[in-house]
Amino acid sequence: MGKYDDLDAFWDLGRIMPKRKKMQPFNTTTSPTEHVIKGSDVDSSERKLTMIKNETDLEAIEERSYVPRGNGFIKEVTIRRWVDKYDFYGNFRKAAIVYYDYKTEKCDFAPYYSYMPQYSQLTIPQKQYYFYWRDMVRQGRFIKSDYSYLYLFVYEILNLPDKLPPSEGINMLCRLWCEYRDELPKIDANFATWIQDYCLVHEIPCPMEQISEFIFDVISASSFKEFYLSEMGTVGDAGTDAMIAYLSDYDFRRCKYRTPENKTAYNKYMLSAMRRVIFALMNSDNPVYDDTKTAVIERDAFPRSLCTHAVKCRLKIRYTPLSKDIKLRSVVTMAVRYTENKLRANLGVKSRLAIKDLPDQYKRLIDEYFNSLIGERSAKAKKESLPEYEALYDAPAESLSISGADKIEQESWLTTARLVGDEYVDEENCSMPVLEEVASEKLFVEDKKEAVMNLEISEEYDTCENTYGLSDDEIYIVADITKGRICGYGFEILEKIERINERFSEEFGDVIIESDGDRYRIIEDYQEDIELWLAKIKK
Amino acid sequence: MACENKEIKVPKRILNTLISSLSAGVVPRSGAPYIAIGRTEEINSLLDNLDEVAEGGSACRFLIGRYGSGKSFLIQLIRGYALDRGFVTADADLTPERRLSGGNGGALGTYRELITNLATKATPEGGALSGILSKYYVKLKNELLSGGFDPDSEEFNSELKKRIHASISTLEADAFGFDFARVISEYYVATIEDNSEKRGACIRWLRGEFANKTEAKKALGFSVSTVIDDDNWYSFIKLFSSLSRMLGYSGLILFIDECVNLYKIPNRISRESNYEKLLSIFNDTLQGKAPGLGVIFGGTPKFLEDTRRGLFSYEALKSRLEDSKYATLGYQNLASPVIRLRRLSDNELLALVRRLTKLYSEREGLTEPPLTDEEIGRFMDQALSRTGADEMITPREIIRDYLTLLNILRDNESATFSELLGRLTFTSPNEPTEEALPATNKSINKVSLFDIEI
Repeated sequence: MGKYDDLDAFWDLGRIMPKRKKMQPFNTTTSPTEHVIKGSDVDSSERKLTMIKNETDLEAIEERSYVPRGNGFIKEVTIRRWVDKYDFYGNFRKAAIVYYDYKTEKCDFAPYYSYMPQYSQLTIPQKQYYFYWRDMVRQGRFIKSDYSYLYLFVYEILNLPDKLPPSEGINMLCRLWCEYRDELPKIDANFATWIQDYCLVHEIPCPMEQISEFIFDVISASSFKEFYLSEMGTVGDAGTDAMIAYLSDYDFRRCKYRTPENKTAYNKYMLSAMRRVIFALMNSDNPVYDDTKTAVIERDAFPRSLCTHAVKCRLKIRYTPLSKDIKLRSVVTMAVRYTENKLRANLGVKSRLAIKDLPDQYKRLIDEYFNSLIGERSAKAKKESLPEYEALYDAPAESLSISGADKIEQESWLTTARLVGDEYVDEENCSMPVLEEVASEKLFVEDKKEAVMNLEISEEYDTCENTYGLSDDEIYIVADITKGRICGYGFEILEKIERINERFSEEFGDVIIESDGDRYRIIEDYQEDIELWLAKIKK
Repeated sequence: MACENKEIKVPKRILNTLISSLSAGVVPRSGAPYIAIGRTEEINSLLDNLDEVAEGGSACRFLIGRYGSGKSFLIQLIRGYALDRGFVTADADLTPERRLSGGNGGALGTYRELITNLATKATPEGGALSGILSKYYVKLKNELLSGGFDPDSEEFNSELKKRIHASISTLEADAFGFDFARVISEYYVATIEDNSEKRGACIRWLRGEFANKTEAKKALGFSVSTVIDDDNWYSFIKLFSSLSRMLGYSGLILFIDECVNLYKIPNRISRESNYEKLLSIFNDTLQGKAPGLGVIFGGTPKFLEDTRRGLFSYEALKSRLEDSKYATLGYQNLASPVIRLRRLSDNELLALVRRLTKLYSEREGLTEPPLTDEEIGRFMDQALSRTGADEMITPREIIRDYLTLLNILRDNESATFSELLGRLTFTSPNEPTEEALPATNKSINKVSLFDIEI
């Protein structure tokens, strides 16, 4: 080798390149593979994710179907056990069973966030707080929490139906939802789905009573609304509100006449009226919606949750799709508009929404509701609004009695006697004044408007009969009036007729002469009687 | 001549008018005493007031009761009594157009209505103005005749004018009395001279039918310093009361009903102006400044006691009309200006029905009552047991329904009481009623859903 051989080696780049590691072949054995991640500075334990090979026979797929009771929209639910080669999060269930009764002492809150919370991810402070928090929650004390703590506990419930029976598990899930939805508002969508899946998988009825207070948000958040909608008739205004939100194309909440001042009353009356309509729609023998039309949903149960092989399954739900029923939507929409028209009328608003093809039976339901309400409210309001002084004008309370009424009626004659005067004419003992000759006299100023009266002076009238205190010429005037002879308006005749009427009014109780145009006449009711009387007192 | 019952004779015409009015559901103009059931203390109190007026005093009362409680009936009752006792009466119902005060002829309308309805015993239906004036004329004439004056002589007429002037001139001391006395004197002069045109003009002036002095002068033939208008009408009422006493009547009694129309005046200033006029009437009568004048106002509880719009909203009237603290002890104070008409009790209503039965039997000439006591009891049970009867039932409805029942039984031989009772629907109260939706909340007495707190 000469001196120039080393020079050639200078240009060998292979000497200066780093050496490649020798590649190992991928291990495909069936033994568990553990991926170990070193813990934090605080926690010296190891945080582990585990996968366990599924040893279930792939051919033995468990499937069961049933028809839910009490939910008219869900026709059939089929549950198929989830089968996969690997049981992801298999150790979670084991750990959950171990930790089921674990408790810790009171400690400070330790924030925790994880996309898929598990025990193995918790630091020591987090672990301490989680078990303390869980213990408080089980005692009904819902202290501060994070999303991940909450979900971790939910995963326990979902994955341990053998430890916590589903009938109790559903209650706990609902409590968690109620208590934490204000503090952790984003849980609605997940809980809406998990609870409905929990009920469907374990054949539990929808827990409507426990979530009724926020059923509107439940319906809005739920991806399968028909699960909750069949219970709307029993929920009250909130359920009706949700139903309207789902099925109506018209949103009454956006009405400009629904002001902050009348909002509460507006909602109440709208929902109360619509509840009757909804109930009638859902419980009718001839439902508006097409009951024969069905749709199918097929999906995994408990999506976005940590589900172990023990509980993971696939749901296939056959149901009546309400939202797609055009006729139902139309009826609900028109009913909402009809109800709003009623409220607008009550507010004095002239503008009305157009109503088309709303069956009369639903109009009647709405009309009856408002009519009864106005009647009840007006009577109640009227009674409540009656001022105190009105009590002064009420009748005394007493029971009906014939004898009491008789006594009142008899006593009232005393009042009548005082009013009409108690001077009766004693016909049996009437005085008999001697009829004197009365000189003829002109009673009227001679005038073409005045009447001429011929006085017949004679001892014609026998005053054995009651003369009612009249003088002879007054009796003559009465006689002439009966014959239609008196006419015109002289002062003298006017005065005499007044006196005659006064005497009869006092003695007899009524006047007997009335004016008829330019004539005087005897009142028709007494014509016969006066003639009889004149005949009696005439000799 | 009269239809008799065991208690008091009822004149036939009055009985016919009474039953006809009651069947139609209107207050009878005559015959009211024969169905005066209950209200004994109230009636006696009002009659005592009339006695005071007859003795030269004056009175002012407020009859306050709900719709259908019997205010108008009581007014007619007292009116009939007043006529029998020699009073001159005048009655008017206030309306949105007829008030106590205000421009555009509102108050003058009330005055004209009163004067048109002037009534005496001999002319109970109204239109008694001429009769009242003629009575005095005849009285003076008879005095002269008794004094030996020859009715055809000039001396007779001269003396007549002198005496008329002497007596009428006593009215000149009162406000507007000079013109009032002048017109009445001229009325008598026109009668003596047989000047019917001038006589008519005088009557028109007294009725307030002239719009201004020029028109009055042209018709009367002499100047007057005033015509009766919206502002001075009440002064002329006082003059009429003095005139009535001078002419030999017991006094003048005014009945002003439906005063709730004052409550309904929307403008506060206008409403208070009317209340001020009412206050001046009240003060005059109770202070003796209007001898021989009695005034009875009829109104609803709201008209009196509403502290926002009623009489009690006007402090001067409230202090005069409201009850003293002793009145709240549960006793009725009949000396108070206000007479509160409580609703008739069930037994009083039954007594009323039994009275109607008697009167109906008399009119029809029946020897036995048309219904038995048991049937009457069943009728009352049904009438009083319907919804709202305890608050809303009025004598008007009971009377009208009962008489309807009797008339049907009379006119239809095949009809039976039990069948009719089962089918008869009782009339609704004649009060403002609620309407079912659609309704607005703008009308009086309509309840809005949004007015009620939930």
